[in-house]
Amino acid sequence: MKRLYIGGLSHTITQKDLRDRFGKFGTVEDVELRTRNDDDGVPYKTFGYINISISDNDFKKCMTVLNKSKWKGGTLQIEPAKESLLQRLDQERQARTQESPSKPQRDSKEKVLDSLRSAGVENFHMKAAVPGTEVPGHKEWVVSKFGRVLPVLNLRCGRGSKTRSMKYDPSKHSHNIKRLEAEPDTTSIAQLTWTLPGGDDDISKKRRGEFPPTQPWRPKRIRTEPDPTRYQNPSVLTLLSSLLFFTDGEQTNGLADGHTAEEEIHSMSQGALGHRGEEDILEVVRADFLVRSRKFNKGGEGEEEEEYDSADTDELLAANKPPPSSLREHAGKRSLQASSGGDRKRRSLPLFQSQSSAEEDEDDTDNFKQSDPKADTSQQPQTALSGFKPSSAADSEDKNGAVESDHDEDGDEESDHDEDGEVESDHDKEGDVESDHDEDGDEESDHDEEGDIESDGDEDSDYDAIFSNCTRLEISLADLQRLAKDADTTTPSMPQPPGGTATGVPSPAPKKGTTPEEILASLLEEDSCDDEKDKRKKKKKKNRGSMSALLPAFQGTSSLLGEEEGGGTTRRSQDLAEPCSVSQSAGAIPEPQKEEVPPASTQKNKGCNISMTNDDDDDSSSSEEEVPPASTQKIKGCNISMTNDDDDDSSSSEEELPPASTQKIKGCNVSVTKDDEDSSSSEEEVPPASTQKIKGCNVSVTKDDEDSSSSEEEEEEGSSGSSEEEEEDDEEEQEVAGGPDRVLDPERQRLDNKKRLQAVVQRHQETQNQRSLIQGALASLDTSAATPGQHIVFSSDEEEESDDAAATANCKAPLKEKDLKKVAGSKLFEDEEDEGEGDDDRFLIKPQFEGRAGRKLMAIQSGFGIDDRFRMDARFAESDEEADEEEGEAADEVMKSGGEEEECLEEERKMNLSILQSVLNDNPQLNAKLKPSSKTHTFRDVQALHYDPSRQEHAVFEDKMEDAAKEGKASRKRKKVAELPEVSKEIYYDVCEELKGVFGGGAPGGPGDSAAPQEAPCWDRQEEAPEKTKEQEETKEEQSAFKFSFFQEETQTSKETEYRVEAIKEPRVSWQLESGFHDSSSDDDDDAAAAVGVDDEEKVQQSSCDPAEESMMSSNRELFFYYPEDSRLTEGPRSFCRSTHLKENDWEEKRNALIQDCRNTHKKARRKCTKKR
Amino acid sequence: MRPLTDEETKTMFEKLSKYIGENIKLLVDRPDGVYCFRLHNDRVYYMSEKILKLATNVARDKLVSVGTCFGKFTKTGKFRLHITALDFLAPYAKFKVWVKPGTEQSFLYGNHVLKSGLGRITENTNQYQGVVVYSMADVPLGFGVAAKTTQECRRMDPMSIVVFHQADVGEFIRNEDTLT
Repeated sequence: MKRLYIGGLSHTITQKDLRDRFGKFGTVEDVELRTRNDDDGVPYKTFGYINISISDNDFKKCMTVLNKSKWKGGTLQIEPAKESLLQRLDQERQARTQESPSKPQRDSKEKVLDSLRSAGVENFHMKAAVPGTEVPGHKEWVVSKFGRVLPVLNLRCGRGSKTRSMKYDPSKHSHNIKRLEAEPDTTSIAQLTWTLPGGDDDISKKRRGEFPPTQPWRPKRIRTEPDPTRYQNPSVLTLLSSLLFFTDGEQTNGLADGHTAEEEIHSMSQGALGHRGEEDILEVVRADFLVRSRKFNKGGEGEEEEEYDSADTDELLAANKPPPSSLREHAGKRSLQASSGGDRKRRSLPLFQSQSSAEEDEDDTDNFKQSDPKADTSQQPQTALSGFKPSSAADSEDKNGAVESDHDEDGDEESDHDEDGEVESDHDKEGDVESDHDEDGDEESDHDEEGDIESDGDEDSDYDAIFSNCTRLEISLADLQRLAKDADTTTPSMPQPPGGTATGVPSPAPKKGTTPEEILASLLEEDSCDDEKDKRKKKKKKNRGSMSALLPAFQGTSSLLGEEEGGGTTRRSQDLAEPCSVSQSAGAIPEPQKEEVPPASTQKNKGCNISMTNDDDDDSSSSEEEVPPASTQKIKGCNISMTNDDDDDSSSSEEELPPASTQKIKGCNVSVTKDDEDSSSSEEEVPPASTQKIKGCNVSVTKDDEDSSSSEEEEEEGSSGSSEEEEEDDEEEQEVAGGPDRVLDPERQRLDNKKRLQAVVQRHQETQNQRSLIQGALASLDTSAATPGQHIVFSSDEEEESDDAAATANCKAPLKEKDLKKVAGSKLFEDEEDEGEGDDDRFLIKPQFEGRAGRKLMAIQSGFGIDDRFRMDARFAESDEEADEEEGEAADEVMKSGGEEEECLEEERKMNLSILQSVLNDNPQLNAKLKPSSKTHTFRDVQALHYDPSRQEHAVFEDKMEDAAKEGKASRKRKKVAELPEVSKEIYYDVCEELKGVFGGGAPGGPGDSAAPQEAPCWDRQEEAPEKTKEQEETKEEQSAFKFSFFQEETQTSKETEYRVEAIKEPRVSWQLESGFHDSSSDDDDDAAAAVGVDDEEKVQQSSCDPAEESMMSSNRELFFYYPEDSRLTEGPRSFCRSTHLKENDWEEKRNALIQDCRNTHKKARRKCTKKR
Repeated sequence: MRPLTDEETKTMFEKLSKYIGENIKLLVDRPDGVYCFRLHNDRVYYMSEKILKLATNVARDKLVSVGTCFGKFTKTGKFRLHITALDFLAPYAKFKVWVKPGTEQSFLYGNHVLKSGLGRITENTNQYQGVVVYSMADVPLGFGVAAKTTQECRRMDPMSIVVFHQADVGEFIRNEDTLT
């Protein structure tokens, strides 16, 4: 008996078929067919089970034959199957029944129960039994608490060998037993708590199993404070976003940033979807909106540009952003920057100075990105430089510290000490922030880019940015130049001081420290001042930072030199050149010191120089020799401060000055003098160079320029004044030399004095030479040469500078002005110095700008401004000339050979123009050179209209004037007669009819009338026709020219009216109707009254008067005005009087009628009024 | 290379006048020299007389480009401006549109300018007026056709098209091979 599975049957197979099919191999007992239907009820699988009694052989045979055979469209698949469930069940049951019948198990139990019951135990309770008593007859059962009968248990515990049995007697542990409740209160299932009462809150709902509908998962957003500046640049955003997309949202760097970017993108898209606010953003611009495209190349455009900046590249970023962030950058790189000679300096300077501390703060925060990398970069140079410096006060300050120091310096430069403090604090914060930012991966990446750029030696941008804020550099430069010149003259070949300070000194503010004595003095002063300054945290920081600042200067100098070479007319180059000179001067200066001053002092000098190079000195000093340099720096700072504006520092220095060293005293003196603005006092003890410097510092604003100019020969204006000043200085110096009481070392003093004198003399000579040179140059040049230079200078941004320069130009400006300028402070200083420095190059006559080609060059150059990249060299000029020549040649050739071509081109052009006009549908005016059109569009202010006889346009007015004069009479007449025509006609008409009736046709008047009017038009027309034509012509002209004039209109109208008037004149004349009245502006009423009341009389009168009046009129024709014995005067009154006396009745009738009329009219008028109401 | 026929000149001027109006005159009648339009390979080149003469030394089939290509005549005789003409159109453009920084990229990829990306627009711009598209930094990006008047633009749905794209400086990269 086997059960087979048969698969692969077709749906049509029946049990019988199967039975028949498998009947061959054995007897089929049962057939089971199964059909599987899909959802639609269509069978897709049919299989069956058959129970068949079959032998193994037959089964094999069956398998071989039928398995995988095709049958009725299906492939049979035969497998042995398990027995059906029913069969198995049957088998099991059978097997069970076959087993032996089960034994009764209840016996023992029931026995026990029975025996117990017999022993008096009911339901395992024995009443009135003491616990512990055995149940009689049952050893193992004991009565325990509550009379309960419990078995004694033998428990086995332990294992293996340790097994022991324990007897548990429930009676002895009766405390474990609880009373069984007779009625355990049973709660029905229905009473169980099926519902929990609860409110609508979430928890209760959840308790009840109600869960809120699931919401789609939202990615968490990490809110980082939005950095407006960070993403100012949308392109960056897009970049970021694209990056994000590329990485499929897996941001390896800074998740937070990524999120922010995503958010921004979100917001952007949302914005695109439509914020109402955006509509407002839409800006409609007038047609003449000025496009300032492609200016970004020039950089320093301001924040606006940054907002809109679309530039993607990092370079642009770096270029655009550095200026604001410059504060930090200043720190380490200032020297470098100085070397690099940033264009930015100038641009950013004014802004920076003007900015309040708060603004600065903002800038800093805004520019976090940039600042970070920059700070890093700055650190690098610092460290490198630190290696250089022997003394290396270099207390490897933290980056932040360095930054702070830098900032402090900057602040000093700005001369706003308060601001400095704030700035410092801000910077500290920033430093922290920076560290935070570093943690952010994205920002780092961004910064890295910038940083790379910077590190790659593209530090120019950074330098520029740094430069932007260093005002002092420039100041010092001027002084340096002076020094350098002095040094050159006095000591042509000077070994540069060790440590390459000279090189590093690009900006060295040699104001006071350059000369050895001054330096010493400054050092001393610094010592004295140290305490004070120590009090000021800023200055301390500055000192620390000075090291860092100093170091970078080195590299910068080299770069500066290079730039110098390259440098030319542009400011940068000038600035750069100055540093070179400074370095020279620095080299020169040390010499005297070496001779007389101890090495320490020299070092100090170096330090001073260095500090000066840095710019401000106060802070930078500490770098080389920690103690003395600091002092020197401080001194410098004092000086500077004094120069700038604050006398506090200097005064304090005086107070604290230790009497120990002469140098100190000198320094003190210097400081004092500076404070007092007395350049002379300061100069006394200081070597000439120093004195000059001092002057520059003290008188700084005003005199500095002059001095610089004089020394440098560059400023034409200041030449005379400067020379004078120099002379004065010399004198003062001499005096100082004469009174050498203050100096402790007489020998030294002497030497110094000698040198000073020498220097002074030399300088004097130089200045004179220069002056002569300048004068010569000026004579030849006049202003032409100067203009380009000036343009270059002032074009950039600094109006103040220009003003100052102008002021300085007038060397004899009053002292008050000087004071004011002093207040202005460092800015002025810098500017002036810059100018002075730049003046050399600027005021030189540049050959390339001469001649026609030169003019072109100039034009181009002015177009480019002072941009260094586009400086026009002689090369360009040559090329231009060549080009010109070529052009000329070409033109000649063309003239000779290609004249035809030109003609063709010309024709073509004309054709084009004509087509263009046809396209544009332009009126012919456009063709005629746009002038008329422009005229048509220009608005003329009537009130501003003036008659200018020299102008052709106004010829129109002239004509008009004449016309007006001509028409004066006519117009007047017209006015008088203005209302005449209508009124007179009516009256006249009535009269005429009556006259006709009275006179029988009015024969005499009628013909005269008709004749006269006919005639009148004739001669009128004759007269007027030409006039009219003229008028038309004029008007035509006017229209074509479209000139605005009041007169013309008037004239036109007047002419027309005149014409009318004259036409009317004739008839009037003929009738002589009250011509006198009307001419004298008679009223209509009179006429009416006359007409009404005097009709009859008039007729008579007219008839009587006719001949007389005619004669009168004829005589009057020429004369309009009354004249004595005028017939109109004599006869006119008659018309008022009644020639004939009315009869009483008639009169009364008339009167009544008139009264009636009056009343009627009055009534009518009243009615009208009431109606209206 | 030949001068344009009257018909061609007219067609081209009509197109140009959509952008710069009568300022075409400034292109044709230049004070700094003689400049002319020349047709070569269905393309219109704007060149100075000098270059024109130089170009005569090059065989016609070898001459790829000369001067500045302003555009080309399509087979149907219409004139199609190329982006290379932007340098001459931008300064004279009468009507301008500034796109916001975020939209710059989109525009430079050849998309129309949507209202949401419109930063600024010249007043009194008519519908279908040729406009030059600037970035907010005033860098000319290309030109297009105003889809709406300025007034309509104010009330537009942010996603609606304001300027139809016609050419953008992105074509310098995208169509590098066909721009001459």
